[in-house]
Amino acid sequence: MSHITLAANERAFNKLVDRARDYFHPSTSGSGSFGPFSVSYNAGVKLGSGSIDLQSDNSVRIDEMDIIYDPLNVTFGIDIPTITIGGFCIIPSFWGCILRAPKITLFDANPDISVPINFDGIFQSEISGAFRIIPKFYNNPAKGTLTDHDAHDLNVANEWQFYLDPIWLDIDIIDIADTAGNLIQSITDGIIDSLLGWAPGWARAIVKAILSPVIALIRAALDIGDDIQEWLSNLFGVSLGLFDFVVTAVADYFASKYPIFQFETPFKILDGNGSLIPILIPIGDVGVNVTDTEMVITSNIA
Amino acid sequence: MSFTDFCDVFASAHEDGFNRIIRHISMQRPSLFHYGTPSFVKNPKLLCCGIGEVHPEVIKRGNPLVTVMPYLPIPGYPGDAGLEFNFSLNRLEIDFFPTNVFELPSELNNKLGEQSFALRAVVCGGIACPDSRILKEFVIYPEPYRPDFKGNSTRDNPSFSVSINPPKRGLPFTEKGLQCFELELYVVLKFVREDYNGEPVLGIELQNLELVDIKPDGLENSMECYMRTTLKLGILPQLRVAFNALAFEIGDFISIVPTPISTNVPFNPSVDNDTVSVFLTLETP
Repeated sequence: MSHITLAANERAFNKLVDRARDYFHPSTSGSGSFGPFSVSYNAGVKLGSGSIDLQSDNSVRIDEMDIIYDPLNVTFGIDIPTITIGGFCIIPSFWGCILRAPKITLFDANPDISVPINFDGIFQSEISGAFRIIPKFYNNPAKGTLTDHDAHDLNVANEWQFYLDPIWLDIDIIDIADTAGNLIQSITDGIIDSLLGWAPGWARAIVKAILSPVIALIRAALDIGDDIQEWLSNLFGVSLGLFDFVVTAVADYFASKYPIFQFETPFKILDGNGSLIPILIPIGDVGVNVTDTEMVITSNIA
Repeated sequence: MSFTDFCDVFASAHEDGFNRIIRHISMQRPSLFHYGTPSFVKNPKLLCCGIGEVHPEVIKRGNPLVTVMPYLPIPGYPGDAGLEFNFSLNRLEIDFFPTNVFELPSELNNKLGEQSFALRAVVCGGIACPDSRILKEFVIYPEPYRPDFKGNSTRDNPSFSVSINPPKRGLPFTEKGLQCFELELYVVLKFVREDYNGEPVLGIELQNLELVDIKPDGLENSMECYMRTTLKLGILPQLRVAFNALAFEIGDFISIVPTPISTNVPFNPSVDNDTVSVFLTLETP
């Protein structure tokens, strides 16, 4: 039996995803002007539906994780040079102007014309895929012949590193099913609100609720092709489609370069005190095993 | 059965891992296990229990092998010399239920009860006893008592004193004069959930303690009583941890808290199958 065992189940991973759904809302905004033209934007993403599925073949599957672009709006503006009409003197006198023509200023706003284009929550991407977590021992070349304690002091100790090994990826940059579904939902809501504007809110909500399964059916129907592709990818462990194949290869390359987590070995359990050396414990035999229900990380103390 | 059938996150540590950690600590910080007066610090080979294997880095960086202790004072002695002594904590090991790392003495029924764990340590030490010839050299004779039967003396007689002066040097001794002893100590403990002002806390309960084969029995019982009282009143009450404090948060994101006791998780932590296991649940703040 391993000396140290850590396990986390599928429920724990999905609780983390649920929390990420509430908390992970990065957004950015900016603006720029190019002569009389200007543009400003707000863009952000948040996680939509999707889940983590632990699989018995030692892999972790990301199941249809939606990324919703919200906010996503752009406003184009044109600033027309200000024109002032009138204001000239109609009846001059020695003591100044007695009567002036009315003065009208045109295009004094900035920008004078703005065209907002709002796609908040309309566009969605979808990521599916499967990966393995591979622990690797990193024999730090900078350590050379240094002792473990010297290497620890100089921050060049050996490490256990955890890498993601993508098996297949299916990335829909524009998730047609959900994007179309969102558009239909948005248009339907707009029509109901304008046609039944006189009705109380709860009555409109009932009509929207009645139509909601129809929209869900359209989403599901549009997603059938993608679902089949993902199912086949998961079955055969390969990315289907040229784009996904390339994305998997690129992800594979970067994933093999950058560990997602690492810790030093020997691992420090007690700080040094004055001249006393820190206590370092060598960790060996690190393993990651995934079953249908849980991910188990084991290790031994050498 | 999975580790996480009744919790979200599970962590366990096997007794072999603990015992290896103890071994690494004793090799890298021997001064935590060996104590002595300056002669033993200078010459650790004199210790009653040998130091054993030491990590090369300890030697390379000149770390102490022995923690320096003050000399043992001699009550009533007006000089600045004291006795030298040393003691070590040796062969410290832990055994989680069931018993298989070491055998418990018959006084402790030879085996652990469910959910219990035992610590075994050999305490060895001794006082460096100077021989009579050296003692003679260090005797300081005060003014002798002069009875004043006639009552005509104006001088005060010196009063008898057992005052203790902190010694500044040790009495010389030879290796032969080192009187070593070895005590084998077994302590059986158990994790318990207690209540502190309505708040649940995790504590450690002393179940039993045994010093092996000290004679006479009264001395053994007295020493055990003293150690048991020290553990129960002095040490274990300080080792309690508030359960709420065991929760750790990942930012404001999510909390990891001990899984509540239930029929599925009757003990948390649980000591079983040679391991100590902790069951944890993820909670949203």
